[in-house]
Amino acid sequence: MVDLLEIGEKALKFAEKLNVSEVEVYLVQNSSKCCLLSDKIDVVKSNVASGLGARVVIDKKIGVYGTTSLEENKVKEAVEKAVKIAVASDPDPDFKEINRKFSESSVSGIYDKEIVKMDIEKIFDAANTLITSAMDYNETVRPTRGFIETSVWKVAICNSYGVEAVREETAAVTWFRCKAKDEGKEASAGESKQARKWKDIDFSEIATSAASKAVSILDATLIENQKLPVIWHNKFTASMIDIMFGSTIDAYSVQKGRSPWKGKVGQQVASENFNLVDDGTMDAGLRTRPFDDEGVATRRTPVIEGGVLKGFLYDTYTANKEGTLSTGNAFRSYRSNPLPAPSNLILKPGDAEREEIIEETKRGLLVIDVIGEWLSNPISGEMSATVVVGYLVENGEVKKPVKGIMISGNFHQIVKDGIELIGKDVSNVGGVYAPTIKVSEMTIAGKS
Amino acid sequence: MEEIFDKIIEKGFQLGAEYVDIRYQEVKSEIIVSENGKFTRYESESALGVGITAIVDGIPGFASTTIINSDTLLGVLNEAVKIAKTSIKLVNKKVYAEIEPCADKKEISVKADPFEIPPDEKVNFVVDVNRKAIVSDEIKNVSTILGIEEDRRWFLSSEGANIKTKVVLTGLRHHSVAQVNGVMEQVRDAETFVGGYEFFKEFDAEKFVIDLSMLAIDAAKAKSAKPGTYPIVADPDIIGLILHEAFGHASEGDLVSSKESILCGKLGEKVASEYVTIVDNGLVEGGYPVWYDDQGVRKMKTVIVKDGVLDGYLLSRETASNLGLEPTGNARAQDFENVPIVRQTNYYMEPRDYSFEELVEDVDLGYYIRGKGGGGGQVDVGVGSFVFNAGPSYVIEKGEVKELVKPVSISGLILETLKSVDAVGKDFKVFTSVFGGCGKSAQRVRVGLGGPFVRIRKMIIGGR
Repeated sequence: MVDLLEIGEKALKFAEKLNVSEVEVYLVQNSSKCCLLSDKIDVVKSNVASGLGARVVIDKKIGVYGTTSLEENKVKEAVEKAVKIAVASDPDPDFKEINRKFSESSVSGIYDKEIVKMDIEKIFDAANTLITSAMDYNETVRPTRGFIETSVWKVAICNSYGVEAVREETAAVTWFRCKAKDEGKEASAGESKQARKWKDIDFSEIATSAASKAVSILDATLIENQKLPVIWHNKFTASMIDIMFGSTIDAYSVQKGRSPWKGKVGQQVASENFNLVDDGTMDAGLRTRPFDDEGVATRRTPVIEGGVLKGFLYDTYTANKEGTLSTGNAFRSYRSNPLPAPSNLILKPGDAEREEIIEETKRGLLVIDVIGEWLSNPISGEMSATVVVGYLVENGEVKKPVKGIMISGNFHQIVKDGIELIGKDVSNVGGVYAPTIKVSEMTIAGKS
Repeated sequence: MEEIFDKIIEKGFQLGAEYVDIRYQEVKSEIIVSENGKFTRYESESALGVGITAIVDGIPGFASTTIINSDTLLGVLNEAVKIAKTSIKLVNKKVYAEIEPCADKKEISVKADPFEIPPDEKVNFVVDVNRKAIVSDEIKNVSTILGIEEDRRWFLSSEGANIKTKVVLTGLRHHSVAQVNGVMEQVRDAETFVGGYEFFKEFDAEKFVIDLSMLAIDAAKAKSAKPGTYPIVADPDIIGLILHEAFGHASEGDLVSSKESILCGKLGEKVASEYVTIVDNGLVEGGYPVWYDDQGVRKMKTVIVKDGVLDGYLLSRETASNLGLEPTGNARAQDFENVPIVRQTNYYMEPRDYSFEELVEDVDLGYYIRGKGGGGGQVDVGVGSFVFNAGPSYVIEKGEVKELVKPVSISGLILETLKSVDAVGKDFKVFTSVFGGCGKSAQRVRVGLGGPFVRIRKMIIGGR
C-alpha cells in the first residue's frame, strides 16, 4: 500500500500556497476480493481502489473535490478544483472551523490479519461450502445467487491544524439466496452476515439457514385480514431501528428540521425498557473506529435511556453550530463533506430467550424476513412491510408459514407502548444491533 | 498508454491466458444543489482506473486498480490470471460466442463542455432557477439539482478490439413540496440531455420548475383516485418504467439462462397483444448512447417482442453461447471495477398510429396515468408481478380527460398487462437520466426508458 499520509501532506502544503483559511485532506485505500456465485461459482474479482478528498475553507466558503487518482498532478488538480468550488460557493454562516485537535479511543476487534492475508483459495472453499451445504440440506434446494467479499482498508486524515492520523480496518460480508422447488411449488429465501473477522462467519450455517427458510415456506398461504401480536426476529428489528433512527438522530437532520425527535430531548419517547445507544467503541462492531472521519475520538453516546430521549449524534460542524462538542460521529466518503451518522446503533437486549417469547404467544405472527420495509416513513413513524418469510404462532408453537401479507403499524407508537418482550439474542444488519422483540399488536393485511 | 496495454496483453499470453481484455475508464461528475432559494451543496469528483479480464482454459479471472503505472498493471494482470488458474477446478467453463472485433472511436458532440463552465456561473444558475419555483406561500420546500457527467471508456482485447467512447450528460432535477389546507403533496421530475451545457439554451428550466410547483399545489388540492380495476392510458414515462422493470429484466439472458425469468422457454410464443413491439436499441434519440458493450460487442437494435410474439433476449457473449444465440451487445459494467453482466440499454415500445385523443376517446371510465412526480416500486421477476408509484394523474370520463387526482399506485401481472394493450399511440419519447440508473447485482448503469402513449384495458389502481 502507498503512504497515504505522505500524499496528504503534499496536498496540504500545496493548498496552503493557495491562501485558503483551512484545509483538510481525507484519503482512503481499499483492497477487496469478491466471489460472485449462482448454483456454481461465477467469477472472482480483486479490486484495489484509492480516493482522496480535499476540503478547503475560504472565509466560511467550503469546497470539496474527490479523486481516485493519487498521482501528484491529479492531487494538485483536486486541491485547485476544491478551491474553485469554494470561491464559487456562498459562505455558510454556521460554519466555525474544522476539527482542531486529534483524539482517539482504544478499540479492538476491527482488524483481522486473516482477512489481510486472504487468498483466493480460501474464498473458493467458503463459496463451495455455501453451495454444497445448501444442496445437502435436501434435494429440493438449489442455490440461485450470492457473494462473498473481504475488504481491508486504510483511512488517513490530515489538516492545517496539524491533525494527522491513520487507521486500518477489515470486514467480511456474505449474502446467499436459494430456491426450493417441490411438486410444482417454489419458494426463495436468503441469509446474510457482515463481520469484522473472517472466522466470525460460519458459511455452512448461512447456507443451511437460507435453505431451511426456503423449504419451510413452500406451503406458505395467505391469511385473513386481522390484528395480531407480531414477533420481530432480531434482523428485522435491526432493520426497522435503522430505518426509523438511522437518519433521524443525527444532529444534521435535527437541525434541518427533518427529524421527528427535534425538541424532544428529555421527553419520554419510548417505554422504560427501551434503551438505544450509539457506541463507536464496541468490540468488533461493524462501524467501530478509534476516531471518526474528522479525527475525533469515538465514544458511547446514549440516545434513548429508560425510554427518555437523551440527545443526538454530532460531527464538528453540527456541534459548533450548537456550541457543543462532537460525539465522534463524522462519516464521509472521500468525495463528500463529513456528516454525522450513527456508528454502532445498539438496542439493549432484554432477558427473554427467543423460544420463551414464542412459547408465551397464544396466537401471533413470527416475522423473519420482509421486503419493502424501506418504504416506511421515519418522520411519521408509519411503517409497513411485506412478509416473505413468516409463520403463524399458535399456542406457543411455530405453525404454518404465511406469504403475501403486509404488516403495518406506527413505529413511534409501538416503541411507546407496544413492546411486550425484548429478547437476549442480538444480531446485526450493518452497524445496527438488535434483539428479537414481541410487539403486542399490528395490522395484518391479507385476504379480505 | 496504448503501448503499455499492448505489452500487458502480450504478457497475459506468456502467463498462459488465451484471452485478455483491458477496460480503462475515466469518469468526471458534478452535482450542484440549491434548496429553498439558497446554495446548499457542490460535489465534484473524478475517477480513473483499469480492470483486466484474463481467461485461462475457458475460466475468467478479473482484477482492477485505480493506481496506474506499468508495475501496478502487471500486478493486476498477474492477479487476474492467478484467479482464473485457481478457479479452474471449481468454476464451470464459460464459452464466449464468436464476434468480429472492432476498432472504433465514438463520442457524442458537445458544444459547451459543462466542466469548463465556471463554477460560479453554474451555482448562480441553479440558485436562480430554484428561487423561481417558490411560486406562492403554498410551496413549502423546493430543491433543484444540476448534474453533469462525462464517461470515457477504452476497451482493448487480445482479439484485436480497440474501442474508445465518450458520453456527456447534462441534466436538471427538481422537487417541489406544497401544502394546501394542511394537506401536503410533493412532485419531482428530471430532464437530462445527452450533450453539454448548450442544453440550457434550449431548455426552459424556469418553466420546468414552475410547472412542477403548480402541479404539487394542484395535487395537494386534488382528490384521491378510487381504487379498483380500470382501463388506462399510460404516458411514455410510466410505460417506460413498467417495461424496463417488469419485462426488460425478465428478458435478460442471464436470468433466462438460470431459469429465473418468466420468459424462459417462451421464444416464439405470444407474450403480449399484437400491437406490442418492444426493442432494446443502443442508439435512439433521447436515450443513453451505447455503441458497443463492455465486451466490445457492437450494440444494434435488438427486437425482443415483435407484434406480440417473443422474438429475442438480451445477451452477453457467454449467455449467447449458452443459449445458442448471437450476442446482442448487452454485457455492461458499471465501471472498471466490475465484471460486465447482461443489462438493458434503451428499452422501449415502438409507436403505432393512434393520436392521444383517439386513445382516450374509447375509455368510458378510467385514468390517464402519468409518470411525472412518481417513482419507486417493486417487481417479482419470477412471477411478473409489479407495483409502481405513478405521479398525479387524471380521470378519464366518457372519452375525455377530466380532473387531476393525487399520485396513484398501479399494479398487475406483466404478461396479463401487455396482453390487455389494445391501442398504441404515435407520439413517442425515450429519455435517460444523469441522476439515476438501473441497479442489478450491486452495479448501476445508465439506461434509457420510454415508449408511446399506450392504452391498457385492465390495470389495478390504488391510492398512495
